[in-house]
Amino acid sequence: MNFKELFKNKGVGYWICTGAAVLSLVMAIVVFATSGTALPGVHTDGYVIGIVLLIPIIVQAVLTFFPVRFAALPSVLLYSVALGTVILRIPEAVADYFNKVAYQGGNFGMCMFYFAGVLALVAASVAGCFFEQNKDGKYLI
Amino acid sequence: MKTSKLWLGLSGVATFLFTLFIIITMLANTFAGYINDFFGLTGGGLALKGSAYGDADGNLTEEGWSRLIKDSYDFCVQEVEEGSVLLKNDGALPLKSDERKVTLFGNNSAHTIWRSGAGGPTPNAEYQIDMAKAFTDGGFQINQKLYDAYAGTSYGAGVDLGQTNNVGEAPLRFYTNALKNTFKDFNDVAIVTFARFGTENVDPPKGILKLDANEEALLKLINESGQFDKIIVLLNGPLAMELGWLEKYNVNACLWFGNPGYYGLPGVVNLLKGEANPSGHNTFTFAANSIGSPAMQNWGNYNFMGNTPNMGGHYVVYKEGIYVGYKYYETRYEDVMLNQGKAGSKTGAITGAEAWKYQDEVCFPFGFGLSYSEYTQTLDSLTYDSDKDTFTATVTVKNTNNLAGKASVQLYAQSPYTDYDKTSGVEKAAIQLMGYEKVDVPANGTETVKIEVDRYLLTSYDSVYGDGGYIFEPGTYYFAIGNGAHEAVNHVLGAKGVTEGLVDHEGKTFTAKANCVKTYSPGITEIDRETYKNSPYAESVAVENQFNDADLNYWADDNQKIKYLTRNDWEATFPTEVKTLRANERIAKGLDMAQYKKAADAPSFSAGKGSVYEVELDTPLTFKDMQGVPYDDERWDALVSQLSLDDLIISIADQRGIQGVATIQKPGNTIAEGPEGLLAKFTKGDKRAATGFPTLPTVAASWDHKLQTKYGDMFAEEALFCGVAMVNAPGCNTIRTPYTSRASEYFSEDAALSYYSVSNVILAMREKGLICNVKHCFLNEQETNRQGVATFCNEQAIREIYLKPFEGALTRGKSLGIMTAYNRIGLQYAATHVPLMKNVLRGEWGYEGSIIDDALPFRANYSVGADMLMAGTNIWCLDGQRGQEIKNSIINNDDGTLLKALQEANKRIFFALIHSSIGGSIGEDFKVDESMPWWQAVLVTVDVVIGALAVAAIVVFVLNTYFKKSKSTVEISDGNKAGGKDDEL
Repeated sequence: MNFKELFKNKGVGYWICTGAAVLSLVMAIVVFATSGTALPGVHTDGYVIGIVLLIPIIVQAVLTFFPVRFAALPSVLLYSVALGTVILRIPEAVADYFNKVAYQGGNFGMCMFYFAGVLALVAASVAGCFFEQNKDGKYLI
Repeated sequence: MKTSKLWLGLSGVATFLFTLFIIITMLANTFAGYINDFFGLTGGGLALKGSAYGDADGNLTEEGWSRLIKDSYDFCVQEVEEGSVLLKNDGALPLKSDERKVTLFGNNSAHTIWRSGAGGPTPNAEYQIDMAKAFTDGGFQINQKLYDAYAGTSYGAGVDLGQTNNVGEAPLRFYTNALKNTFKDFNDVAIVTFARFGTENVDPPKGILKLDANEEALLKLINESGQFDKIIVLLNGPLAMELGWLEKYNVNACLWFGNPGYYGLPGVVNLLKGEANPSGHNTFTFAANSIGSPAMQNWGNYNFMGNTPNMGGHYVVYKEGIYVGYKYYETRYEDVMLNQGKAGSKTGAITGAEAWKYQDEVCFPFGFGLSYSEYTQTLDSLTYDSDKDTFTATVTVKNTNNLAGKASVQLYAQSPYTDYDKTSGVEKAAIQLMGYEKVDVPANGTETVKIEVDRYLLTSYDSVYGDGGYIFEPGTYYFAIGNGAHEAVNHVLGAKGVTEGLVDHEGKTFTAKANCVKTYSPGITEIDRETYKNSPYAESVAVENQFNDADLNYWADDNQKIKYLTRNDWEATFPTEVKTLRANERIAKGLDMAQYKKAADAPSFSAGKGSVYEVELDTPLTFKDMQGVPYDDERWDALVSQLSLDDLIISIADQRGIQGVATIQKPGNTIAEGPEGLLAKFTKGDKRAATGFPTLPTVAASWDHKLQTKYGDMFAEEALFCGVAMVNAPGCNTIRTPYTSRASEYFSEDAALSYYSVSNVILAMREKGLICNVKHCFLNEQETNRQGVATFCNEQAIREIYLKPFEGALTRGKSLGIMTAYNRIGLQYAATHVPLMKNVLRGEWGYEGSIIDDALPFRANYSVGADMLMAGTNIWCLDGQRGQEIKNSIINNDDGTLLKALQEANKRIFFALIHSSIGGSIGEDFKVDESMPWWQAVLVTVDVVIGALAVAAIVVFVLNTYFKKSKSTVEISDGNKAGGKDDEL
């Protein structure tokens, strides 16, 4: 396989999704390292967010070699699910912050970082839908 | 193919929105209770009754709310006035009428720690009273420039930043020359506020209760400025700072005001001006070395060595036994005076000392507090009533100056420390609080006070003899009064013949008074093991050891067994840190909480339909029918037998409240957080947040049964106006160390003061129909590793120190709610500890109410629903998912035993709630609204619409891309019109 030709042919949509995958990897590492203290005390399964963030990376890697026209769409779904795993784990920290209490523990700033980071991934993958994955427009499907 | 890309993009947008709204719907359903509560849908439209602020029919009114809120805010001020403690005063206070130009020093003067940030309400900023307003409204001119400069900094500790590891003081560089130049215009008095913050989930770091370098620099600055004639220090927060520096920095007066709540600061100003007369007394010891007590030797983070199951990796050992707080300091002091038990050894003494001396160890004793009045007290008589088994002390209080005041009368006792105790390991504190009263004494007037106390409170728990139990020993018992425990023990020592060497907390010679002490001899020669053999609350229930498994020695290998502190040998047994503890095979197995297994002969769940559950009674029963029905009446069984499994899991799952049960027309109800006020909003008036009251140490520090009762009353009145029938409050764990981060939610380091305070509060709440889930039962005295920490303690300390406040809450206070703790009792998760929940609470104390756990979702091998249900947990706090977990266990295992336990849980919950304001408010025509709340209907509609749009977008994309493409391909072959970009490989 000629990698040079392969990547030379990749379109804007592909590079957006790949950039998102790289960011997703960074986010996953941050989540694995910090979720124990960043999330409210009742959520000790913050690693789930990291695991979900790893899935689109794998998908993107596969789609690099097996291009499909709608490659960005699964990423939208997966990052949206990842966003959901974040949203379901931070409301207590948000409530504590606005109520000015430390009732449930966690770090509001880090929770917002998780939220903003994964939201950016969703936005990137949605944007990727509007662009071609391959310059030559040739896909498996 | 631009159209294809557009539809792909729109498909992406729609997919995201659909996923997002599904998540929002899930989130909303998870917190449905909160949302219903927010929209006022929880109670199914049931308006609570029973308020003293209601109309003639008991209905809540706008006018009543207006009166209530005024009284609440006034009470906040009263609480601070009567619960603040004047620790030192060389005559500087009260301030003279011409001393009104003051500088408020200390960054925390502009960043008051209102409360802990744990359970309680949000502030109503419009009505919140900060120090600037409190002083200005009180007629003072304050140094506004300095105050504003503080307010504009980010040094502040406390709720704003949630930091327990930051004292929040400004560094010296903050004080610019411009700021220093402002001192001269506001130099009547320097009023310095220092604060320490505690909250839940995290402890303050060891050492933070010392004077911080920035605080010390500020005191030097004030002294060196030469501008101020008086220096007054105010202490904010419930954590006892080390105060050995007051003399060094020429502090004229020092006032502890705890957490004042959002509206209580005018009380501080009133005290400084003399418009209120200080009458509060310490609820904990101000130690000279905050990390020097026996309890502090084992506090914090300790990890088992070896493999442990989920949430079982941590431990803490209460090696100090019963010698917590003043019971250590005063007992060791007596033994120094009596030259026994090697008490004078330097072991455990403050750093650098060659011998243990009381005045080196304690800055201000438990129970101590000054007043602007001067009182003399005499213990006139002490009588024992054998029929009631009570002592009655008669005390005369004389106010010797011309200022009226409230005097606190404190009655202490000492039990004989016998040879049997020394050999069997029964410990006796040299002094223990028995009771108290507060009395108004006019200027130069005299009042007589009677204090009646149960002799039961003077018993000791002997875990060694037989199966254990409370004992009363022969010998001489001393009863003494005093301004704090130290004065009392000094009077006792005087009665014992010690005439030399007695000192007060400042090290000055103390003269014991014979008229402040009485003796009592029970007239027995053998240890009385019979009188208190059975529970005073359940005569047929023997009181026996229930917590052998909480003792580390029960589990540890021989080389890891420990010795508890004994006054028989202070030197050899002063606690050392249990730094390493191997989780041996027994410990590792004991830490695994996945313990419930369905018995082979367990009844079938499915076979019970129609006969055990979902029973159709000839005369159906409703929730309202159960008013006045005793718990042991079979109608309770009949009531719950009507419920289906789906009905039965409704009430065990708290989501800031419990949903209604239509089958029996049981209304929904809110469960609010506390105890620093209700985390709720009023349903009347401007619908502001409930009042953030000055916190529980202040309530206890009033040493006033009436004020403590009023706290419960005001709290419960607000609950009615917030539509709240159940609250997770108050707390009554023991302030085991000065670093107890949730001290603001607890009352005292002392079991008796907590016992009375919490029961006073709860009894008043009960009278207004508020069910209090008193928390956190028990051994939850640190936040570090609180979820799952294995907590080891001996049974005597458990019975006499840590359980006693909960005993008061459930018996004297008649509570119908209690919350278990996060920690383990020994190795067993508190919410699954059967001896605690079934043998002590239900058995010894005859408790009939409900038991809620502390908010903790399912954790494998730890908080397992089946274990908790079988042990006696009835409600799962803030855990809407538990019902499904229990339901699945019952169905999947066809488990009729779990079903019975679930029915029992429902009975307990309904029994508690029928005694709440709900029971008193429900009418004949009440019907539970079973329709879907409007907000859920909206969400479902939005989900469906967006889902349809997403599917439509994807379908159009597919049609546009693939089916249209077939046509294009033909076109390509025909005329090569379409170009290659859209061709497939």
